[in-house]
Amino acid sequence: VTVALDDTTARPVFVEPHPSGHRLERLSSGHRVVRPGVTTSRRAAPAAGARRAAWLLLHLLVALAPLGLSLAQPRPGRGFLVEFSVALGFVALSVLGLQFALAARFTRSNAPFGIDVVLTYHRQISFLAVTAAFGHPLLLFVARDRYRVLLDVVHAPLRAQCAWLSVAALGLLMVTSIWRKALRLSYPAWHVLHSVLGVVVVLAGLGHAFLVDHYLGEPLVRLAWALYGAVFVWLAVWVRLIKPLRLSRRPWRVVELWPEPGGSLTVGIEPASRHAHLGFPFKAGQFAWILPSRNPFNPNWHPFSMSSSSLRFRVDFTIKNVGEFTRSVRRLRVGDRVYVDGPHGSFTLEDHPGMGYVFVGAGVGITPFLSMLATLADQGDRRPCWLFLANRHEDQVTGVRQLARLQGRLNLRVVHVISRPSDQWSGERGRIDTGLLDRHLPLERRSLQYFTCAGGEMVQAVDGALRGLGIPADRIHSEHFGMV
Amino acid sequence: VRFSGRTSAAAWLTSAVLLLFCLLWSLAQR
Repeated sequence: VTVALDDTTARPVFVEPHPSGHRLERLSSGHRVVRPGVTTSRRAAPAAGARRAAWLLLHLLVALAPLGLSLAQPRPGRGFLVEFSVALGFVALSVLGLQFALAARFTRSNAPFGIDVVLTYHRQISFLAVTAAFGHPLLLFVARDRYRVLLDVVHAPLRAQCAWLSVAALGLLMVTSIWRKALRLSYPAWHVLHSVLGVVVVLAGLGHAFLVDHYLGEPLVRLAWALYGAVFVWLAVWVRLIKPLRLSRRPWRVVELWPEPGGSLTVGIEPASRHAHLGFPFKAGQFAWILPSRNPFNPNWHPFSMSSSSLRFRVDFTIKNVGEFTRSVRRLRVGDRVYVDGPHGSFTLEDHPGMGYVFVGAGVGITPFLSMLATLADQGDRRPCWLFLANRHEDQVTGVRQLARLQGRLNLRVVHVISRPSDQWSGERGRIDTGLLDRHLPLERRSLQYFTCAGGEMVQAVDGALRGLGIPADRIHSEHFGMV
Repeated sequence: VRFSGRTSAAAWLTSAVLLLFCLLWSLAQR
C-alpha cells in the first residue's frame, strides 16, 4: 500500500494495488476512484495493434459501402472514364462523411491510436477526399462534352448546383484549414467555420447524389444512402449538442493558478462537486480538451497536457502563454467553472513500457513529463529516469516547483541545458545534441524508452541525435507542439 | 497541444485501397 500526500489538502491519500493492474485510490473524502496504473511489463498489450487494424478496416469498409451497394443495381455502363468519375464521387462523399466520425473525439475508437493520431489521419485522408471530389467533375468534363453545360452554375439543374455548392464549400474548407494562420483566422472562428462548411459539403453532396438518380434509383440503395445521411447528421448533432450536454453535467472548478517562471501558467482544477463526479482517470502524458467558460456549448475548446500525477484527485494543466485562447485562460480566477473533455493521447508510459525512461523536453514541453514523473513517484517506482530540459535562461524553467517536490522520491537525474545562460551558470550550455546525450546516458541506453516533447524542429533534431547514438527507432516517441 | 504519430502510412494505404477499388469498380461497370 502506497501512501501519498495530497498537495491541496495536505492530507494523506491511500493508493492500493488493484487486481486489474489499476490502482484503487481512497480519497480523503472517503470516495474511491480507480486509476489506470503504469504497467511494469516490458511489452505493450498486443491487443492494441489488432484493435487499430480493426478500426482501420471498418473505416475502409464504410468508405467503400456506397460503391458496393450500387453494384446491387444492374444498369448499362457508360464507359470507363464516366464510371471512374462516379466512383471517385461516391468515395469522396463517404470519406468526407466519415470525417465527422474521426473528429468526434469518440473515446472507444480513439483509444487504440490516441486522438492526436486520429486527427492527423483526419487531415491526411482529407487530401484523398479532395482529390476525388475535384477529380469527379473534371473527369466527367473530359469524358463527355455535353457535361460542360453544367459549368454554367446559374442555369444548371439543381443536382449540378448542389454539386457546385459542395465542391466550393470543400475548396473553402481546405483553404481555411491549410492557410488558417496566413489568413489570420482565430482558432475558435476557424473551428466554427470548419464545422459549418463540413456540414454544407456533405449535405450538398448527398443532395447531388440523390438528385442524379442514375445510381440511386433502386429503393434499397436509396434507403441505404438515406441511412448514411442520417448517420452524418446524427454525428453533427452528437458533437455539437449531446456531447456538450453530457460534459455540462461534470463541471470542474479552478482551485489554483500558478504562474510558472517561463511565462506559462499551471491551472489546478477539481470536480466542482465531489458528489457530482469522481475524478478523471487518465494516463500520465495524456491531454484533454479544456473549455474555460460557464457555457458548455461555447466552441472554444483547446487541448492541453495534464502536468499532475494521474493518481491524484486534483488535475493540473500547464499552459503556455500564446494565442488568444491562452489569453482567455489568463482571465481565469480561482473558483471559476471549466469543462474538460478527455483524456486523449497515446504519448504514455503504458503504451511504451521499459526498464527506464529518458525524457527530453524544451520549455513547456516538460508538461507531459511532469505528469509521468509525479505518477511514477506516487507509485514508488524506482526505475532510473533521465530528464533533459532545454530552456533559454536558467531562471525561466517551467515546472521547477513540481520538480523540487519530486526530489528524493525518484531515481531521477535532471540535466538542464541553457541556450543563453548567465555568467554564473555552471551547467550544460547550448543545445541538446548527440555529444551531450552521450555524456549523460548510461552504456545500456538501448534498453531505455525515449520520449521527446518540443517544437517540431527540436523534436527532429533530438530524434536524429538519439538515432546517432544507436537508439532503435521504435524506442523513440515524440510529440511536437502545433495547432491544427 | 500535441500532434504525434506515424500516421501517413495508414493514410497512404487507405487511399491506395480506395483508389484501387474505384478502378476495379469502374472496369466492372463500364
